[in-house]
Amino acid sequence: MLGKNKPLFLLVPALTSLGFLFFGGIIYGVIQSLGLAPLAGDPDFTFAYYLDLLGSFDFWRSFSLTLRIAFISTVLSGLLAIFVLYCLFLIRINSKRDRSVYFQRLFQIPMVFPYIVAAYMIFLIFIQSGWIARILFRTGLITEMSSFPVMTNESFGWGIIIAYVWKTSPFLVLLLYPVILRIEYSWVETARVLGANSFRTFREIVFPIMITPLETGCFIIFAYTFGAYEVPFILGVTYPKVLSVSSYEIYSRGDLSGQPTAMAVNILILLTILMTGFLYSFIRKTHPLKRIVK
Amino acid sequence: MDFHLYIQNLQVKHGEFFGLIGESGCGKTTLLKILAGLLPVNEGSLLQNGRDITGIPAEKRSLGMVFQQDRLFPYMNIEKNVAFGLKMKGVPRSKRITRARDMLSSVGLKDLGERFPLELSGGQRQRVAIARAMVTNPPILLMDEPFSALDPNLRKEMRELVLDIHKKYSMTIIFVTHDREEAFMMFDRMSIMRNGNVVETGTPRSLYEKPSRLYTARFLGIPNILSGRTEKGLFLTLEGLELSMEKHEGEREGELIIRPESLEITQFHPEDRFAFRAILEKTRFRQGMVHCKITTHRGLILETLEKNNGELEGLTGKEVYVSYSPTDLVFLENEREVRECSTLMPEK
Amino acid sequence: MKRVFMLMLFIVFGLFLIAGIFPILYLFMLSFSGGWSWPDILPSEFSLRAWKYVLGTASGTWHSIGVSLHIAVVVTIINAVIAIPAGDALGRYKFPFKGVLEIILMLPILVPPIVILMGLHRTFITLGLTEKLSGVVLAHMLPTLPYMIRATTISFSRLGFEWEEQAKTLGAGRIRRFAHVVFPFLLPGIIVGSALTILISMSQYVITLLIGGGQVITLTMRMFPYINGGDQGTGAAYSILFALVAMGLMVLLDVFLNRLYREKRM
Repeated sequence: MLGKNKPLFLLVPALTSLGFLFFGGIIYGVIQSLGLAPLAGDPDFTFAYYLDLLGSFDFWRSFSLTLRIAFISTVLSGLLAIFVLYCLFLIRINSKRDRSVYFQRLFQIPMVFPYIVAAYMIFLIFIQSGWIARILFRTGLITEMSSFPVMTNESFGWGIIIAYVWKTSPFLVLLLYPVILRIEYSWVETARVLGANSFRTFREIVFPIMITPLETGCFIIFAYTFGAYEVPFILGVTYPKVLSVSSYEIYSRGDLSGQPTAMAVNILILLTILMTGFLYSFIRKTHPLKRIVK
Repeated sequence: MDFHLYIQNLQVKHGEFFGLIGESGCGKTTLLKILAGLLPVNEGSLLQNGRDITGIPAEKRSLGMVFQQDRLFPYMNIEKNVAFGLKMKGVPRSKRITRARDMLSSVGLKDLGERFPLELSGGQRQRVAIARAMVTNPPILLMDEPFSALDPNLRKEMRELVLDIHKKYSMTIIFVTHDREEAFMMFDRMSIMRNGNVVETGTPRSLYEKPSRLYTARFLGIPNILSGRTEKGLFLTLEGLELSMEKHEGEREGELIIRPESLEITQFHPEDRFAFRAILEKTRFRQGMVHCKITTHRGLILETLEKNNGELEGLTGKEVYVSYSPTDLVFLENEREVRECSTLMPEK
Repeated sequence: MKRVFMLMLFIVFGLFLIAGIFPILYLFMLSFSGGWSWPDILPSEFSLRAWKYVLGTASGTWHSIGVSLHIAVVVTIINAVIAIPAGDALGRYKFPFKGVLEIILMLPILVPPIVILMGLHRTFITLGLTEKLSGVVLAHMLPTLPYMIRATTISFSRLGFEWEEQAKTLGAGRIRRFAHVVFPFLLPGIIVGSALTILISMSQYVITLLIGGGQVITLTMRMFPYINGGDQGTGAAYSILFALVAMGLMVLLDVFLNRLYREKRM
């Protein structure tokens, strides 16, 4: 009845709803950031909002802070997830009944907490009077509260990074655990006979299957942490702010004239994420990095 | 379910094509995995050239192993699959690629290095698996029913290939199978296994012609196993048939094993041969040979196998003479089987 | 040597496991603490103060749990209805520009919500969708629907056409084929997609804040002031409560959908 167009027809609800929400949001943002939809006065096409931002020192401070936090969080989260998956792999191949499932479930626990709670926990545990400082004090490693390093609400963003890693590495483990489940014991046996110990089996057999979903997962995390609002809002400092926090602040100021600037910041966040994606896939295709992950 | 394997003493000689044969569940694959180091030994030891390797893990034994399924890594191309063992040994990239290619061409898959396992046929994949096991020049190649998943035609081809490899590289091969035909075609020596024990070890021919255990005869497919006793140089079956023996055994109970091809059917009593009378019930032609089923007047059913000389079909349903040579008869005393049963049963 | 290495490996593994779970334990203690001064490692007094306040009627917690659940359930249902046909198309058919369409449908999770949010807010203002439950529901679809589509796509690609063809030859009509063959098969995927939808929807703060305009008070909105510099014990109690509600809803979902499946099978 519908013939060849059936799949397109099936996609209509998804495309219209997401298209409306996604492009509805972005296109409006683009239009407004170019001065075409002012809330007062006449529309006037201009790059001024962008040029102002790109010429401002504050923007670049925010930008570098955001990039640093997103990059470090992603890398740490990825490394942690790989380590955990390696342990789960060892547990799986070394136990008769596969116990890795239970450990995997335990790792999933942080996922039921929202980002704001993650940020809150990190705040409580890492502040100078927090739990870690108390343990260090009790064990005599520090002698007073103030000798514990400031890790929350400081300008490097350690607290933010820890909260992100705490919250996102379980996501990566969840995403990649099916790969561990897909590894058949017969492959492990074969690899052993061919001279591979368990680490090399992981490196040569498991990792290559994991690499594509790992990259996707890391990209999702990078994009999220680059633009997320809640965690840096709770754990950040007044200056410099990450891009999303400053954009939201500009947007929600009573004075509506800041809106095009906020939109411009958003579009710059989007462009950075897209460019990172392209850059990575470009490097991946051409560079020796290819050999590392071959 | 616990499974125990008891191997008293088993030696494989250098350069030998050695077989482990038995029905499924007899422990032959388990034994092979123990040799490979994939399963631990509870007691006793494994020696290789006099060196104890019991505690050495599989990845350090550097043996080659080919499994029943090809077990190629699906996302690596053929060349990388073959080169895997070399990579684990730390052979530099260019060298291992060259060696993998050489090995591939010696199993007849010269230009397929870039392909992926799923793009090859079952036979090709098993060839790759052999190349992968061979590429590191292992002193011993272990093969676990490597051809049982292949078509019968392919199987023959692969057997030839493995025999060629065995000759060319003069390596020791230990080969597991449940297929008698394969055993007779390939093995220098073999062990017949049952319930986790080695029943008997020897060359396929000696095991077939002079089995010393009843199970060997049964497993190798000898259909005529008669129960009875010996008396004054004769064997008396339970049904009352008398057969002359080569040696005077005294009075003992046991089984007499008669290979079907050692019996000969004729219309008249042949001179200088022992013979008994029977009815030729059925003949079946098979690849130049004739399978016959005969019944003695005492109701004993026997099978014979002889060359087709055209006469036999005319004799169907008639009385014929069945002749034999006492040297072809193998008598196995009962007591022995009783003892065997007690040791064969694994602990519960 | 190898033993030592393995032991160390698993010690580190255990530490990570503890690091993952420990903060939750800490929150739990904090929510029951009546006093906890430096440098005590355990609270010095037990108190139900925070929980009494959180679970009491004055705090409005129950109402906001209702709002959160309402939004999460409605979003889940809408997502399922949209994602099932979409998953069918992406999982079982081949058509031009499939790859591009697939990426487009994944974009909302590759782009942080804040980027889209403000433009969406302006659009919703023009459409009169702000400060309303319906607007928040729509906005919550943005970060959740892609996951649901992903889940149904995987399920459909495993299903293929064979079983449905079999059912067709047995005389099952379109609706019965869906009910008896397709839906039971999709169920595990839908459960995963729904669980993610519920979690993500309930966790949203900034989307709910902006689109709801402070008028739609979900549990996350209710707890935010306590978390951001408010009373610590209350913030901790809310955090635990949130996790319990989210997990409870996911268990319910699992039970409900599985029962539905069993009845269908009868």
